[in-house]
Amino acid sequence: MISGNRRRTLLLIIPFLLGAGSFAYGIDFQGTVFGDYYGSAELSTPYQNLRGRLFYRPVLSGPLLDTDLELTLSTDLYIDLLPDFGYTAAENVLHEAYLFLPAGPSDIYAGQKLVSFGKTDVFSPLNCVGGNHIYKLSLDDPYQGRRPEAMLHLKFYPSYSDELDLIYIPFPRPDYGTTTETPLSDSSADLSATVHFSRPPYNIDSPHSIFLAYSRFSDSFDFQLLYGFYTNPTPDFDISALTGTAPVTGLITSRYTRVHTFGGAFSTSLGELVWVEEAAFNLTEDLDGSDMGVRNPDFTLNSQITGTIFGGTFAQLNMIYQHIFYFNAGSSVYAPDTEAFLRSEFNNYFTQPVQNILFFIAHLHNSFFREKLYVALNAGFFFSTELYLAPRVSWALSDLWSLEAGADFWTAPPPNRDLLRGTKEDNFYIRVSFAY
Amino acid sequence: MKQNRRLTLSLIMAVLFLFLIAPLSAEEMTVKTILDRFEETIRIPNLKGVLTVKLIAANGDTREIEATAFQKQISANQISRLFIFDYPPSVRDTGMLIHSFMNGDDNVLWIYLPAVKRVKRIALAQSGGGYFMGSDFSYSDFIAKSRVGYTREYLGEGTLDGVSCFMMKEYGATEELRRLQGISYMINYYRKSDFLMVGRDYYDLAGELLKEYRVLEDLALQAPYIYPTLITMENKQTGHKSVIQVTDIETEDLSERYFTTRYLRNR
Repeated sequence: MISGNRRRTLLLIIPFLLGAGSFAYGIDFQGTVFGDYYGSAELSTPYQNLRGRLFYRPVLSGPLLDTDLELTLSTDLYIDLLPDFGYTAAENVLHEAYLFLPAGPSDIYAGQKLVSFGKTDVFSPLNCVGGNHIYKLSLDDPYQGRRPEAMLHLKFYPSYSDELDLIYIPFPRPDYGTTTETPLSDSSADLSATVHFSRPPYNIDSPHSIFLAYSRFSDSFDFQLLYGFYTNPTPDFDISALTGTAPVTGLITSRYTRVHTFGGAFSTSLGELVWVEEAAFNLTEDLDGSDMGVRNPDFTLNSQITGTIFGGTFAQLNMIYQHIFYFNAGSSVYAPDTEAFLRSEFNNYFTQPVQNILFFIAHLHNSFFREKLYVALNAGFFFSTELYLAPRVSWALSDLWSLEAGADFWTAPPPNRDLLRGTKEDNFYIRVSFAY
Repeated sequence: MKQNRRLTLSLIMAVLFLFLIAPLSAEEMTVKTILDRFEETIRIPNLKGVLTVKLIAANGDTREIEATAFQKQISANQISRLFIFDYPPSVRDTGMLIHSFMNGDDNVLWIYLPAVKRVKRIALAQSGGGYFMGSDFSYSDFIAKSRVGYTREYLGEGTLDGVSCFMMKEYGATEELRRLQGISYMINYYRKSDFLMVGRDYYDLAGELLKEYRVLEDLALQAPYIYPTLITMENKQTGHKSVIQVTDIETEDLSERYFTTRYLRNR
């Protein structure tokens, strides 16, 4: 049995040994190292150190022993110095580890890897492979995005323009979040319960996710069709163990349910603009909306337009519409206030707060000083008092070193909910990166 | 007598007519000849090379970008180009695939972003504000221009840096095109010996000199092909300069599979 310290030491040494050995076999050894600091920017609360992290992602890639078989291997290694000491959870150390074999008109991948479907760049409804890091401080954190999945991935190319994807994931990975027990209580709702989150590294109890996709790239337009039958990485809730009337008590347990996703995306150029339409229908286990603990079926449409505006500024606008079927349908045995409270908590956790959702996301960016300075702004408008603003700036100290800073602001205060999925606390960060 | 006068008059009219039409035919012929011969030199059927782009700021700060470049004449109407970036690390493994058309159809650009594992369709103007990787070269400088949509005038012969050249004025046929490009006109210099375009001066919408394009070195491939291997683009208004050097040039046949989104994603 290897002690924790020795295990961590090995995890740090192994990439270097592999890197040294890789030169003998022509494998590329690349990596990114950064140190960052996040501080809170919430005016209504005292200042907090949110994170101080040293992060290293080494990446090995290349042919295996002069064959057509290629290996990609990357790990995520970090230590947090603020606010408390911490380090990469064991299940997150391995980032991608897969073999790739080009075989005539096919490509075969086996191992843990990232896959990205869809054509819109934010809130893509077709991009449903893999769970998320739900407690990331920057919504666009490039190092805590989707989680790679262990899969068998076949790509078939009937022609130079067409692609067929078949993905089988035996044991899908759920969203990653550190909370395991959350109290769910409200005196006015006469509720005092506990939510127990089961977050296994791999979902052994709800296995077998399958995705089928067809893509076409042509001079006039690109499009993609997708079908997925998979275990939703975001948990639903089993409330059958709640008992009593005033108050209602008991244990709510998370469970992972199955989803069918049908969707498509279309992309074409309109002169100097690029227009993308993407839509998906999700059919969940709550077919008639009667189970408030399970997310409802929904339909999402994302329209995206990109272009260049004044001064060569890249501009992108997304309009996202979502309809929730059977919203708040069905009834329960609980008192109206209790039921209303539970529905509100669950609906917001599922990001289904109202029956029809419409919001806009805008992105602008430009570079200056021969691309040394990069400036960007992300903004979200939700037809409410809540606006999302996320400025980003990056300065290339050299070809390898960069200095980055940014902030995430929500104009509304953080929601006061027990079941909060993610964080909406205003924050800022500064980061120094080295890539080789 | 009357007959002789009539004959003399006819002869004079014929000479006058020939005098009037001859220069028009020569001018039109010369523009077409220059363009035909120039395109012969650059329509290389297959090309692969290593591209190094140096971005030089007015104060001398230099950034360097390296890429492997592929080019293929897919058909009489289409040339495809693929760029796979190797350096700096921030753009490593990023790929760009460009299909360009001689009949005036819009060019198509796909970009592969390794960080998000996606192939995206983008408009040329959106990538780097229309400039190749932040350099002073616009995409239209890389892409052989369709003859459609441009007006050209032959200016006669001249010299550029001691080299005898044919000079041609070129500009977008519509005000919208000139405004989109930010260029009111260009003066092109075609080397007399082989019709390679060795220079181009760009004038902004105010008629002021904006940029100078110069070919400093070129490589004679299998006749009639010539490829510029050292090119500079200097912005005379900002002091920026970009230098492109192409090395390790190969002209063996390239499969069309290189110019597909499959290859863009997996090399």
